Order: sequence, then structure tokens, then C-alpha cells
Amino acid sequence: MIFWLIVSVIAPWFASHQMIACFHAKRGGKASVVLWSLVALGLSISLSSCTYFLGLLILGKPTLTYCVFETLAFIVVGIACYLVPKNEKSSLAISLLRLPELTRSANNYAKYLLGVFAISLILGLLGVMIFTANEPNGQYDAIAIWSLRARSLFRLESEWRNAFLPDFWHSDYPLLISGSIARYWSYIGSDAIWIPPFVAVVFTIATVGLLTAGVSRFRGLSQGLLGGLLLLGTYKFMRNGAMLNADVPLSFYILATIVIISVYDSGRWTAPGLLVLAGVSAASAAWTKNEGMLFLVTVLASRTLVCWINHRRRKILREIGLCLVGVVPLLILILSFRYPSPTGNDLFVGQTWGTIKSRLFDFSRVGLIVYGFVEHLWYLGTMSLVVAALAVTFLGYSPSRAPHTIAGVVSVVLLMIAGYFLVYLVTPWDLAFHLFHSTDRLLIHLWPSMLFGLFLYLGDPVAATVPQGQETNG
Amino acid sequence: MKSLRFFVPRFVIVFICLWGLAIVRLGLVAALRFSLRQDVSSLLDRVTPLKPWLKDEKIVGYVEKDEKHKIVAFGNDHHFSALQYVLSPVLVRHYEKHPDCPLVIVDSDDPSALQSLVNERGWTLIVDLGNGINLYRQAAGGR
Repeated sequence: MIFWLIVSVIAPWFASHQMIACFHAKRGGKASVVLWSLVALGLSISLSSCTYFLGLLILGKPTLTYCVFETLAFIVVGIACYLVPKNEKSSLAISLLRLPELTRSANNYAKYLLGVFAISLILGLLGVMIFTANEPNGQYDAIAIWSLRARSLFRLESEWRNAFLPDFWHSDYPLLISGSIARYWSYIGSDAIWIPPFVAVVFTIATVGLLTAGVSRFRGLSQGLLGGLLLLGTYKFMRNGAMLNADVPLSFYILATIVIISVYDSGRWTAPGLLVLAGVSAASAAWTKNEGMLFLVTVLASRTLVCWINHRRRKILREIGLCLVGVVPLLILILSFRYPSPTGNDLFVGQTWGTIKSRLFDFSRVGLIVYGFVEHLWYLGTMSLVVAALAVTFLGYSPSRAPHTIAGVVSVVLLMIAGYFLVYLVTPWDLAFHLFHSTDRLLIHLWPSMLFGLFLYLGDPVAATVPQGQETNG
Repeated sequence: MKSLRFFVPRFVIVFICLWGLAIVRLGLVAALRFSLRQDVSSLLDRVTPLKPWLKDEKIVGYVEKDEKHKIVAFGNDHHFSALQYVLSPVLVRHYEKHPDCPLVIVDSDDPSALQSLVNERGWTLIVDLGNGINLYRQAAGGR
């Protein structure tokens, strides 16, 4: 059982890792190895859930033979990508623990930080595991949507299309989480109850890792560890991950897309393959949850905006085109998934232009939404916001950061918030009820990306402990 | 000013570390206490005894007559979803929309509402789980 689970995780991860190496041969240090390994992990889960759904569509319920062939296919793809000539030899060796070369005093701080981060990570992991052990079925959304759909896909066999009947709640929701769970079940041959918690723990910890490695890639290990600590300390984020909801996986793909785009922007736009990769990651967000579709549109809009601001207007079509190369295959799959799922989205079914227009210009709703966002942002990361304000005040802006990198992050986050704002404005549900039950989760989608943006901007406190004149490369 | 430059970065680092550890510890304590209020598990435990009665069924109807304990969010009835989850691959459908299901689950804590429904439709009781959930067979062809 465990052997097949390992196979089902490792084979697509290997293929994704090698595909990423093809897209982005040039690697930027030790933190980058971890960064790309985590991005590869996320993409492998997304791509393997796609292959699972394609297998269902074409061949019906996956058998052991199917699992063997799928594994072999992933290995072949991985080897083929590995053999593609690259500009720079890539290495799979993970050596995050080597500290950046700061002076001795700064190095000490980084070591303490690493210790605190390691303890927090272990405690956080333990907390998530205890949550999931107490409620292995997760919370209501998990039993009503994600795990229920996975069970239906796995157990209904030849009648798997019944999983998309309107009798099920949100049968229009995409399949990344349910498909992944059902795929792991197919590999191990039983619908073990610990697989959904396993997926939840992987995504929660991977998001923390991705934020840490992402910030480290740009700002050095100490800054990355501080970012990771802030996320680990966001109780609601960790708890939501343990509830087996799809919000944390969505936040992972949003963060992954933003990090990839930041790497592209920071590299002076010299690795166009990264935009294809960002497209795949953004489409994976759309394959996770309906809100991901909004994110997909936001990423394309943000690229247009960033190109416009950076006086690269002639490149807009090229950059959007590259993103679409990554997006289109998954988008086709998402649309083909909608075909057997005839239910519309609850936010738009039965809405007329007249009702939408009346809500759009109801300014009392605007006030309520702004209040809801501020209130939930405060409850989500009360102390994080205090720490952030404190840090911005005392540590200030890091002048070494390229402004276009930050523009890419900020534009995506702001456009997403604007999109959510618009959805609330036209929601057919009672607005106060809708805000109360969903705003914190929408903010969780963006929280790791907000922290990434913050630490990209923020001055480095560890570097600030080094007396002037002693700074080396970090 | 020099002392501020010395003190502030160290303060921020120590503050974030202590705060991170405190919150994670808080999460751990909350996780340990969480076992006291397993909402979903109790919901699932309530309907699990139905499973053996529906082993050979493909589809079953569902009627809920218990407005008092009904938990509805965004149009979703959690009792209904819990049944779908536990009984999968048996397809649980709302009886009102699919009145031709041979078996019907009636979810009600109110015996009078239950009795009037049974008399009206002429259903035969298969099992009373004793927790407000009853399984009925209806005559072929539905109501």
C-alpha cells in the first residue's frame, strides 16, 4: 500500500521536476532547488489528477494495469526531459541548510532563526496532524464536496459520471483535490481514510515551504525563514489546511504562480519558459477551485498591466501568448469536465442583468464588503499585521529589490481582491451571511502571496544586525 | 539613533520568533482540545448505522422533516451531504425531486410529522435507527 502511494507521488513529481528544468534551466542557488522541487510537487499533483480524469474519460475506472502504465509514462516523460540539452547542468541535490554567506554575527541570527523555524514547523505539522487525526473526514466542505466526490469517483466505477449530478452540492467544482485523492486510492487499491488528510498535510506544509524558499530565493534564507514563521503562526491558515478544504491548495497554486512570475520578472525577462510554467500553475489554481478561474484571468490582466507600466507594450501579446501555452491544455480539460457536469455556479444561476445592475450600484453593499474584508483580515492575521506594520516602520523598504518584481506581485493580489469584491457585490446570497462565512477563506487564498510580497519589499533585519562595512553577499 | 539601529532589528527577529512559537503552540493546544467537539464525526456517526441496510441498493430517496436541527449553508443541507458521504456509492437523492426511489430515508425528530407522512404515502418501515432516522420502502411506482 505504502509502496504504491510512494510510486504515485514520486513518478509524476520526477516528471514535473524535469519538465521545470526544461522550462528553466538556469537555477539561482540552493534555495531555488527547494523552491523548484516544491513547485514541481504542486504541479505533479495537478498534472496527475488531470491524467487520472483523462483516464476516467477514455478508459473508465483505473485498474492496476492503468496505474503501472501511467507510472511508466511519467518516468519516460521525466527521462525525456532530463535528456533535453540544457544551458546549465541542473542538480536535484537539496542543500537548503547551507546558510547564505553573511558575516559571523548575522550568521548566528540566521542559525537561531533556522532553529526556531524548525521547531515551529515540527509543532505546526504536529498540530495539523492532530487536527486531521481527530477529524479525519475534515469539515463540512470536505464531506460535502471534495472527499464525497473522490468517493463517488472511486466507488461508482463505470457510473462515475453520477458524481456530477446536481444532487451533489457544488458538483461544478473542479477536480484537482477529488481527482488526486481518488487517484491515490486507485493506486493503493482501497479508499483509505487517511489519504485526504495526507493530501491536506502535504499542501499545508508545502505552502509554508514554498513561501520560505520563495522569499529565500530573492532575499536570503533569514528573510525566508521569517516569512515562513509568519505563515506558520497564522493559526487560521494552518487550521483551514487541516480541515481538508481546498483553500490552502488554492493558496499554494496562487503563491507558486506569483513566485514563478517574480523569478521571470527579476531575471529581466530572459526565461520565457517560466511564463509557460506560470500558465500551468495558474491553470492548476483554476483546476482546484472556481476562484482559481478568477485568478487565471487576474494573472493575464496583471501581465498586461506590468508590461504596460514597464514600457514593454510590444511584448504584451508575446507574454500573454506564453502564459496561454501553459493554460490552454488544462483549460480544455476544465471545459471538458464541465460538460458532464450540467450544474451552473450558485453565484450566477438565476441572476439577471437587472438584479446584477441594482446590486452593483447599491453603495451600502460596498461599505459592508470593505468592513468585512478589513474585519476578516484582522482576525486572520491579527498579530501578523502588527508585526508587518512594525517591520515596515522600523526596517523600511529594501532598495535593492527591482520594482517590477514587486509590481507583479502587488498587481495580482490587488486584482484578486478587486475580483472578490465584485463577486460579493453581485452575490445572490444574503451579503452579511456570505461575508461572514467566506471572507476569511478568500483571504487565506491570498495570505501566503501577501506575505511573499511583504518580505520581498521589507528590509532584512538580519542584515541590519551587521555593522556597516562588514556586509557580504547574502 | 545608533542604539535604535542596534536594537530594532534584533527586537523584530526575537518578536517574530517568540510570536511564531506562541501561536504554533496555541494551535497545538487547540488541536488537542478539538477532539471535544467533533461536529462532523457526530454527524457521520448518526447516519452510519444505515449502511448495512443499503448494501445492495444503487439509489435511495431522502426526506427531511426536521427544521429544528437542520444545518443549511449556501443552499447545502449538511445532514443530506453526510448521508451521501457515508452511503456512497449509493446515490442519495431528494425524494421531492425523485419520487420513484424504492427506498426512502426519513430524517425527523418529530414522530407526528413522520406518521402523517407515512400514512399519506403508504410506506412500510424497514428500520428505525432510534435517532430520528427511519428507512422506508414505498410501493413500486412511487407516490
